[in-house]
Amino acid sequence: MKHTLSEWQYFLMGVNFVVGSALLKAPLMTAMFAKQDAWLSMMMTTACGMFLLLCGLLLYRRYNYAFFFAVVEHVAGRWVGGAVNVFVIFLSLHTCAMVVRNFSNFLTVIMPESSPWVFQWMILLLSMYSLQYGASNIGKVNEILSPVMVAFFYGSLLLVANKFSFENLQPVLVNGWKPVVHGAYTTLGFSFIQLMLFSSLMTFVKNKQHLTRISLLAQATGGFSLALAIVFSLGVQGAYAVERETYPVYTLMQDITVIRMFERVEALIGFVWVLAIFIKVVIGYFAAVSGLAHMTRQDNYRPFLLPCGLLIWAMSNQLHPNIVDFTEFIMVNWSMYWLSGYMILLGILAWGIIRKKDRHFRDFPGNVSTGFVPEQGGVSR
Amino acid sequence: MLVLGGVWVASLVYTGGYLFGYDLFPVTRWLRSLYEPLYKALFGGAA
Repeated sequence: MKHTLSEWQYFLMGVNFVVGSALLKAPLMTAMFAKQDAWLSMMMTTACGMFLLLCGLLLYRRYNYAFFFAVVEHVAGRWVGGAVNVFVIFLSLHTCAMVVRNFSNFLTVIMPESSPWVFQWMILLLSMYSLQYGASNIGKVNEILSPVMVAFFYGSLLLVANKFSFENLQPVLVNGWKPVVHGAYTTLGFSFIQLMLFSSLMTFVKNKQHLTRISLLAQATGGFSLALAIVFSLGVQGAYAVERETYPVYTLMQDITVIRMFERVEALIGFVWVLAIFIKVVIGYFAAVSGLAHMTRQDNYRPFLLPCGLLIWAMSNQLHPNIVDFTEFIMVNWSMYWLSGYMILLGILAWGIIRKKDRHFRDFPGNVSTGFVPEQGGVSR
Repeated sequence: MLVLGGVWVASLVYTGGYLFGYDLFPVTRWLRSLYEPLYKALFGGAA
């Protein structure tokens, strides 16, 4: 099991994590409030997300990007730190469950005869298999898939460019900034604050010199891609259609027919989305099981993969009875829920710096006092 | 072993609850009751 990541792999994982489940959902969630200004909402979300991430990274940098769960435990003590770590592990599992549910919701809309359990177990088993080989494997898989995803994503947008009308984006700010802020709120926790889960991967990046810059760049690139998807959805379909579709980017592509032999182009964007979702599930899953491995002082998280997978599956089905309840919960509660968690962690990092606990991690950047991955760069077993 | 056992028990109990129709850990309801009043105060109503 190897956990080494290059800067490039880390950047690509950051981009795909942000794009992840937001690609098909974000246009609906922002356009519902901001209408034709939804793209402004996404730009605002990206800016807010980058600011929050910068605050976190400036604090986390003082700890030399040591393993996150070890930092929390060292600063807050065994019991309080342990409780916070359990909360972060639950947050990761909860996020995974929601992403898996989002994935099965989408596929059952396309294939209504199929059971959502099939899709849920498919992505969970694939994630477990990937995690068996460690973070390096996830980085490599993502590195190979990313060019395909970029080509499919921008290629599909190019194919609808001829139907784009700037009139659909006007008038700008006709109802002021309040609907734009409301639209921005709905997607903030959905993709951007969740990058907090990335802190469990930062320890394993080989060269940490430019990690802050790379993280911000990944978030900006992901936010730009989402804003572009929203601009095209609005420009082609108009705000009225976008706010009424469950998956506006997907339906946008359904109208494309290049030649009679080249139809059903929407499968391309579905492919991009499924891959990005897979990366998001794997990263959330990794954060949860590596946190559990840290708590048990083990250098191997494999024993936790199956029980956590079972829990994610049950939660993904139990938490929401249907897609309407799921979407409403995400839009109302998710950003504040994640923001609360983020603020607790920022508070712990700041408290540690005030009490000079960060000095402990200066000389040894890896995972101090735990069994999980004792050397920086990971271990092979 | 204790933590691993705890994770297995939590998973099996929660999964059993789901399969037999019991919501043993209604986290969605708790989060709603915590954050919806804040959301209403900020934006003035449900989504």
